[in-house]
Amino acid sequence: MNKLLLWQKGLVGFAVAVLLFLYLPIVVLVMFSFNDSKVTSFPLSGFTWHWYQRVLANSQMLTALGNSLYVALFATLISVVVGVLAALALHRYDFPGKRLFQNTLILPLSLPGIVTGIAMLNFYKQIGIPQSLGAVIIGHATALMGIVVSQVLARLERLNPRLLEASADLGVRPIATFWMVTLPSIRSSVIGSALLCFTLSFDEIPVTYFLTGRDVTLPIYIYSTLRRGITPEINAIGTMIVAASILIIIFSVRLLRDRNQ
Amino acid sequence: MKLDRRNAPGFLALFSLPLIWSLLLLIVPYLIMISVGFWLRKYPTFVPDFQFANYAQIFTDPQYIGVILRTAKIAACVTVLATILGYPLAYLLAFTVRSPGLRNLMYLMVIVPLWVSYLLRAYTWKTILGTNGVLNSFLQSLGLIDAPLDIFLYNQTAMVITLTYIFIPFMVMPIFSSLENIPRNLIEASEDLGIGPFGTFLKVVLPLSWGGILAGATVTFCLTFGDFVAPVLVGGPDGTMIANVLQNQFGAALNWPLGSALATLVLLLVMAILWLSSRLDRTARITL
Amino acid sequence: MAARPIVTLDGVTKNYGTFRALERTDLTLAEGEFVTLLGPSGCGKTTTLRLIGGFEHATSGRIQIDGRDMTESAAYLRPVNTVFQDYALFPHMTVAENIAYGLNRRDPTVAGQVSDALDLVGLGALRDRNPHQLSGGQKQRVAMARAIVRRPRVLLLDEPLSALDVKLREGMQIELKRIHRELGIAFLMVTHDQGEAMSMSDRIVVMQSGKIRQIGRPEELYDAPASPYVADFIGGSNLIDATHVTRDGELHRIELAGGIRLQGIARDGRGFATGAPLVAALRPEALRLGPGENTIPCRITEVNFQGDRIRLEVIPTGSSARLSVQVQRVGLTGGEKLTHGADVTLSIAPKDVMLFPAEAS
Repeated sequence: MNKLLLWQKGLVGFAVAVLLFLYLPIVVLVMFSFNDSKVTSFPLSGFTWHWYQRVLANSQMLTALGNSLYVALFATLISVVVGVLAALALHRYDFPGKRLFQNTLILPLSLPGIVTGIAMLNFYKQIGIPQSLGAVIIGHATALMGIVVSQVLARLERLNPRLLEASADLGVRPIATFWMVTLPSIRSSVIGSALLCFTLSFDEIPVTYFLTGRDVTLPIYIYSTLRRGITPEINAIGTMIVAASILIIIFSVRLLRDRNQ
Repeated sequence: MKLDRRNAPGFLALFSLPLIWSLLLLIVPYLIMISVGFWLRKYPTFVPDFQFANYAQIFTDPQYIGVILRTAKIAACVTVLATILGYPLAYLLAFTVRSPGLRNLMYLMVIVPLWVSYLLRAYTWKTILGTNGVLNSFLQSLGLIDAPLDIFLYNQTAMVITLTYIFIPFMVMPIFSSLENIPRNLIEASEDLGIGPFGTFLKVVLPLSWGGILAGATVTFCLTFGDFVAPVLVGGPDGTMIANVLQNQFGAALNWPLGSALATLVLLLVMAILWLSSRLDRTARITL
Repeated sequence: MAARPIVTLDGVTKNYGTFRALERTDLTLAEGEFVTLLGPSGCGKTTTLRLIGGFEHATSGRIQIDGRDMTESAAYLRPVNTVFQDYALFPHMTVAENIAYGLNRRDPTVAGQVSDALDLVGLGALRDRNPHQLSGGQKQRVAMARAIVRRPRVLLLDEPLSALDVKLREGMQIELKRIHRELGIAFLMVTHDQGEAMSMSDRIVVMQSGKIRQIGRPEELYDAPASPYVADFIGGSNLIDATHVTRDGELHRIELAGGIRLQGIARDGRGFATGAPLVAALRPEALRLGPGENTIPCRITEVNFQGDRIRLEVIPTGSSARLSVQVQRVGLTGGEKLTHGADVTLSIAPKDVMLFPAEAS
């Protein structure tokens, strides 16, 4: 028993170290966003709100933030609508090429974003659509649709098919059945995948990098400033994004828990 | 249900939008990219053609082959490291943590970093590993070193650290779910038959979590292979990856045909890995 | 029963948080014996088995196996093996690999041992199958073979037949008894099925709420239950409230609600105070049609045809109690009017009216 405990202690220590490793950069980011120094190095030199004030006064950065929210919102909307339709069709019907279609939809999830970005850039160039935020929205929606399809489809496959038959048996038409039975049971997966799409779109670089024009999103803005050098302002906006992300996660966990009860 | 004339209207109502969307905006762009890979570059533009000069250039110029091999090497290192670091964490979550509340909390802690901007997390490694960065100043303040070391940043090790860090959650999630699916009484049965904890791990747990390792490793390898943020932020002169070369073909080098040919190669490689992975998974799949 | 003890539980208690799964339990299992732990779910029978197997560890008390204190030993160090409820066959191994799992790989006799075990359970032809290709009954046999190939001192069986359908279960009962006889090792089986327990066991341990209520041979439990609970759980009984009237030697006179008077006997010949509340246990198969020593006038509320017998639900006149009665059809003359609402007269021998003090239930 003692040997076993030692073995387990080692495992616990190692795993906790890995977990801390996952948070090291995030802690560093938050810590130095309040540090009163232009360089991110020890020793800490005092508390300041300065970098947050600088963020709020940086109109370029705020515009980029607005662009990111705009892109993420519309990309998510399109992904969810088209993705849920696709998941329903894949769940309900057998048709030739079904597996191929499904694999194509989820391919961009495993494919490096840069390939999707390049493919779309070539496409836009050929049909003459200029690089713009609209182009980015379409690109994100297409690339992230696979998340909605796979998550909603997984949920649909766990849905008891007798429920739909029971609804039909009770004289309810298919569209009403969708609203009264199917949608409530896939709701949590739709919301969950929508939140994930939103976050990933908000954070996306490779596709955006190739498709955007003069308007930049926040990650592209940060990416281009980073190449010039580090400024603690980025720590400040980063901390704000971290805080918002954690709020979204808590919100979604709460939501899913309520649904499960 | 099988598609027939009676349910065709419903099918079309559901299916036409996703089909048109994915054909027009997913498949057509990939096809165009593949065909541009056969075009000819006539500076400063390109003309449609069907020739293999771009591919010939990629396969004869040692610079391109070198980058592809280096990228594969880094992706492989990251995959192996992330597996080694992620597996014990997944194991701890699945077997050692008994309280469901604590387990949910820890699982959430693994996932949270995924939701926090990828760019910011990669960027933070730059501030940690830099010459005036957190690590150097920390070591200096401890008195372990006199002057800042520049060995941490701008090299392949920094890239491997950063990318491993990014992809650990991608490994933990599938491994955890495969471990969680192992019926507990199999482990009890193994111990009942006289096999100790370590033997049980090797003979029962590890083989039954193979699917999770495979899934995590596939995603990690494919996404690392095409990453272009980490090389720019923390990679040095010897840290150029395939994605940076691609980026350059569509930027300064302005050679879209060559870039499209390279991107097509990456596409084919990733699809080959996905295919191989699903084959391996199917042959090794165990019916519980 | 004179054989030496192979497993001894001495005052074993097991708590899960604040829930007490097993309370100060003593139990001895003799070499070669077939003992069954019987009770409803949550009675502590599976906990007892898991404590002996080493999957749980006792909160207090001692567990001895084969003369050695193994209270704290890990499962893989104990000379016992378990047949798990849902078999727990390793899905990534063949039948033969499953059986060889607990044997020393370098031992050259492994192949022979595996073949012998497969022959014992009659599965020689399936050695290279995977578990998912087997039927429930076949999986059951592989699980048996895998456990007995290690020649344990005790074989633990956790509801081994519960996942099988009724027909298969009866066959496997006979099969299990045969294997037990051929091996000559002790079997400790957990079940919630009293019929299974009665037909297979040398001794039955009846458990309830983490405690042992009675231990005995099947016929002892049936003929002389220690409590109304056991009377009902083993074989089934009508439990009726009554009050004590007088004692006449062995026999006690009691009164049911509605003024019906019966004579009955008490276990261990114990006495009751006059007017004391009692519980009378009447087995459905002990009740007869027609008048006799103890006559009970009744009205039929339900008639259930069951092939060789008929089951009646009746209400004694003037009472609200319900009685179940089992009537063998062989004994019927054809003149009885057994329909809903008909009046019948029942009787029962005084020795079949088992009396218990009311608080015992």
